[in-house]
Amino acid sequence: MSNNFDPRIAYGLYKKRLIAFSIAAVTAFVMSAYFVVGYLVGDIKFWSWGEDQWLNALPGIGICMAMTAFQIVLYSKDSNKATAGTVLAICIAAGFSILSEIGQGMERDEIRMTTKSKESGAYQAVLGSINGAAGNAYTPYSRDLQQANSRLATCRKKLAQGVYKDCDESEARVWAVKEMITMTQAAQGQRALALSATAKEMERDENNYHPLVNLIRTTLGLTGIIASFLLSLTIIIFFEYAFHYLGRQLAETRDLLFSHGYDTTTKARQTPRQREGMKKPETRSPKHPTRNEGVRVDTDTTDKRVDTDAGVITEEMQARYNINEGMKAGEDVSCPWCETEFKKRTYNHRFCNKHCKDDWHNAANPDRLQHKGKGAG
Amino acid sequence: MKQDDFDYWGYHHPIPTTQEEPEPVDWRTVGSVANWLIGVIGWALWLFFLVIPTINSTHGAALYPVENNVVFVLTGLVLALASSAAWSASHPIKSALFTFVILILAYWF
Repeated sequence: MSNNFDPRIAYGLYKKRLIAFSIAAVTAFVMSAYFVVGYLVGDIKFWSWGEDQWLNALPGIGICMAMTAFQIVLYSKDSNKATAGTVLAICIAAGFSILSEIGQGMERDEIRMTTKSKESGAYQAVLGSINGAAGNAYTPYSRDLQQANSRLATCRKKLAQGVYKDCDESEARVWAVKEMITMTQAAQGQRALALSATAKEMERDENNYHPLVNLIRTTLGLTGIIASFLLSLTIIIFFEYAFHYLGRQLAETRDLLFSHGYDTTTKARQTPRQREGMKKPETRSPKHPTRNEGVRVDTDTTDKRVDTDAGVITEEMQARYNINEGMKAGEDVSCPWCETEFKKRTYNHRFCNKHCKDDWHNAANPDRLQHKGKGAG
Repeated sequence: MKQDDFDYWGYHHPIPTTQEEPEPVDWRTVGSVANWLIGVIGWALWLFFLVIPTINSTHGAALYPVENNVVFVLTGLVLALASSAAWSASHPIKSALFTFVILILAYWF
């Protein structure tokens, strides 16, 4: 690793990546909740929900939060440590998110298609025809019926006077006109039904889908709903990929800082007040219980440069030591004393050479130097 | 050293001086400019075709529920952030891909 690494720039980049990833996480939650909660409650206008609606919404919100948290952890995980289980978990989380986020895209296509269909001139004309056909009580034979009834009345009058023998002809005429009126009304009803069926089909004219949806529909020979599903699926898949990509960027900046001795994953806590009269306990390594560590740590934050002549262990050097202790054999580490890069050979290999190791322990325990007759650093 | 002397990861790479004549076309500069342009286009698409129509209810955005519009504005924002991240990480293909998806989203919106 180069000595020209500037942690300030790297940390600034880390903060930017963290903000971007947080925005992506919030967006993923909102997208999932929009569909899931909308399905459970009926609408997502939460400011107007009653108690029952909140009770229905809470499980959906909980599920979406859990799956989003799942995604946050998985997407920002170190990919070098990805196992089959991690990949499976990512597939489950991403699959749930994708299926729950597609809903709003299909809803948008549905609204666009039905609105344009209902606003079309042909549909409005059909509606007008239906209204005309259903509300029209006039028939072209109304006048004929009047005349036939009038003649029948005249015939019956003369029949009563004895002028005519019967009125069969007049009655037959009236009956015939009524038959024609009945047939006309039946034909009008049939026409109204046919127009209604036409209007119903025109309410969902699939040609009014978005051109992109129509492109998929006509190219692949699919229905409008399937084409809308595919388009929404494509957009959401790329969103999930962007979410995952931002997580990877965050993980890389975090790991870069960590490899240089800067831990962004844990928050330093203030140590509790020591009991009065108690001697400060010495920290011991679980692997080497006889060795003292962390002794004479210089907390002066004004000078972070390695100062081997003075024999002082700075916080940065101590951080590198702690990192090396946690790394596995075969991994690249940085010498706590001189920052030289080397490959760790064994679990307890921490320094690049024995001189750095001796200098370190001499600085940590000046008694060693006094014992050898050397002055303290 | 100035802040500009450091790259994306915080490393400093001093430019070596040579006595040779420079190449007629600096493809690295062209590539970085193209990369930058792709990122800017992504943000411009998001702003002019997603945010402003949602705020002003123009370009047919009034046809849809406000919540639906907001969701897709956020989707475009994430894609624009990813495009910028890919641009600054010198991943031009990913940057172009994210910008293309923003274009599709803006057209479909």
